[in-house]
Amino acid sequence: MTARRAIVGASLLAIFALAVAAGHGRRDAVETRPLLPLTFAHVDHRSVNCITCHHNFADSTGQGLCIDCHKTNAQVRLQIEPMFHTLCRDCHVAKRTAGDDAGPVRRCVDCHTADEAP
Amino acid sequence: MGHRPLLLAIAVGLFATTALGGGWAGAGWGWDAANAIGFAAAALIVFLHVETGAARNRPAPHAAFHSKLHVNVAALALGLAVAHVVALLVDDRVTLEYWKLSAPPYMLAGFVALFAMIAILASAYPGPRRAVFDSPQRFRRVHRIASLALAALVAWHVAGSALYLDTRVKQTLFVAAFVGIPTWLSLRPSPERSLIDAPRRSADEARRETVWIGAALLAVGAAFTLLRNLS
Repeated sequence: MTARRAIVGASLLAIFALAVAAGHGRRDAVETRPLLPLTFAHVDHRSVNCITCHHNFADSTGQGLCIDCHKTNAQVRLQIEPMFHTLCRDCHVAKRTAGDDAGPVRRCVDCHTADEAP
Repeated sequence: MGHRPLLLAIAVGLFATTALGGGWAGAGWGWDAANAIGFAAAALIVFLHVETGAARNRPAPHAAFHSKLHVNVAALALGLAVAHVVALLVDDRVTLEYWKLSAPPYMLAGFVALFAMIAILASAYPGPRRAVFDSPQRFRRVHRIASLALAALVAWHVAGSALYLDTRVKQTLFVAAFVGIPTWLSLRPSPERSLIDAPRRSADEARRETVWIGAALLAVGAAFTLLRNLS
């Protein structure tokens, strides 16, 4: 009885410790994770207003490449995955739902490939 | 309601939720098929809570059937969950990124749910159950709470990924049903059932019922994939 309680208690403690460690570990993992390869063709996105992506041209939040801020700035670097997926994927999904040409909508590898597009 | 209509209602309800208000466009055969398998596993988790849970409360002639069916369906759900992960990886190697600690929390929730399923299933077999729990009552209580936690993790995984449940309405409806119904059933007292005139059902019959359940879910999943990619 006592041994069983000790096992259950130790297991719960171990799960809690693991969850806390995973929380800290995840933050480090997101910050240090190398960027995935990405293919993007500007020529296919001419109908999109430039500042939809390049918002820094309009709101003066930075200069240079997107990644210069989104991978290094402490305020946004942990949100890089949902931010870019919301920006790119949601737009593609909306176009697909509307029956328009949409490009990739779900499969990760359709965008995250090293192919260089014009 | 019998097993089969109930299972079909749950499965079709889950798949239909993804199509509310439009949003029926396909994402590719492999991707949609892999996720259909995941939805089938989710449907079985609800089914386990709604129909085959509390097997010990059934009259003796039926307890063996319900017990066996509960274990079989749980094993089927685990198999489908593993197949969902493997199929996604085969279709899209980049999903391996979601196996890492840097993955979004809703994806990590999916992996924790997978391991929770393994733990819940393994601890329910007689040997481990007797080794870990000092009474059937304690086992049932822990099993029920762990199963509700599993439902919450799966709901987080599915709604959080927002691939098919892409609006707040769909996500809310899904989470409310997926977690709310099992929680409500868990809190209410077990209903009295009069099965005196019902035919005796054996553990062997449970195996055949499991095969039917698996086949029915695959058919619903195949229809989901076809409709999304042919429309």
